[in-house]
Amino acid sequence: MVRAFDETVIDTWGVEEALRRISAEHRSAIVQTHLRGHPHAEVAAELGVAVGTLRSRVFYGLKALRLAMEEMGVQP
Amino acid sequence: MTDGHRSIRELLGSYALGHLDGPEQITVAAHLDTCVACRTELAELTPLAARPTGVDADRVEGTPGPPPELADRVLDRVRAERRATRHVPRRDVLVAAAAVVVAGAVGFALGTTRDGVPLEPVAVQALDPDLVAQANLVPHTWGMEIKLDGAGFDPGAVYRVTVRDEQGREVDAGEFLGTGPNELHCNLNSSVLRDAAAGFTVLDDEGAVVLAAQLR
Repeated sequence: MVRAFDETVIDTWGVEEALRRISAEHRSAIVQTHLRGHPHAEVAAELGVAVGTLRSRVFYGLKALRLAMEEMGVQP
Repeated sequence: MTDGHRSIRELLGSYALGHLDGPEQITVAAHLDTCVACRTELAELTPLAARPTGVDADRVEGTPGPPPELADRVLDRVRAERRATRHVPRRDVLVAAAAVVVAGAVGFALGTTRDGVPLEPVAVQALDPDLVAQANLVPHTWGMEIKLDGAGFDPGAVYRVTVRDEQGREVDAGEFLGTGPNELHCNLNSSVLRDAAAGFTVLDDEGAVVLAAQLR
């Protein structure tokens, strides 16, 4: 159980580190919509972009995140 | 590739995260039924949907991380230690994956959709001993959505989901690709209304039932 907890902490840290390694635009799109759960329309307005642009950033941000995690050896 | 394909492809991230509702979700689901490339791409993104459980947005945005080379050295040490200590059978890995799936569902979904619609958890029976899964239902005016979380589906294999209505009719609810021991989170849409749904099944690529749920 302790090891499982440790691994969870390491995995969480790995994901946070991977998020820091992707571009600011991609990171912001994922953090605001997914981690903070803000509505897309609200986030898009705050960033001054169209909702479609935000969704595109979420898509390419997730692809970049997956790549960063793979490069770090963190299991997606 | 068409412009339609390109524009729908860029919705796959939001779709994988469960951020789409209504017509957009239906459009993407319909496209996925016919586009192998997008299904494959979605299968790569879906495991990321559960990852933010425990991840702190303030730490990500507000706290500088360690220098990349230090982070890599730490991860190298962790991987080396895991290799040295982890000799667990596949079954244990799947149990661990199941625990992560449950944690992910609780941590991320918080029991409601993004619109505040309550999720209805349902018991899912795994007929394949390698599978672990759970599901939540979302009633819609256009039908019913199944949010399926699981692990142990053969990587790359196509699984088909059908909803059985009260007349015993099997109605297609979409397909997904297995992701092996990686967590899988997918949203499946059926035109059967929640009140008219008697159950759903997940079939493997040979048509054998691998998961089943009774809904009444």
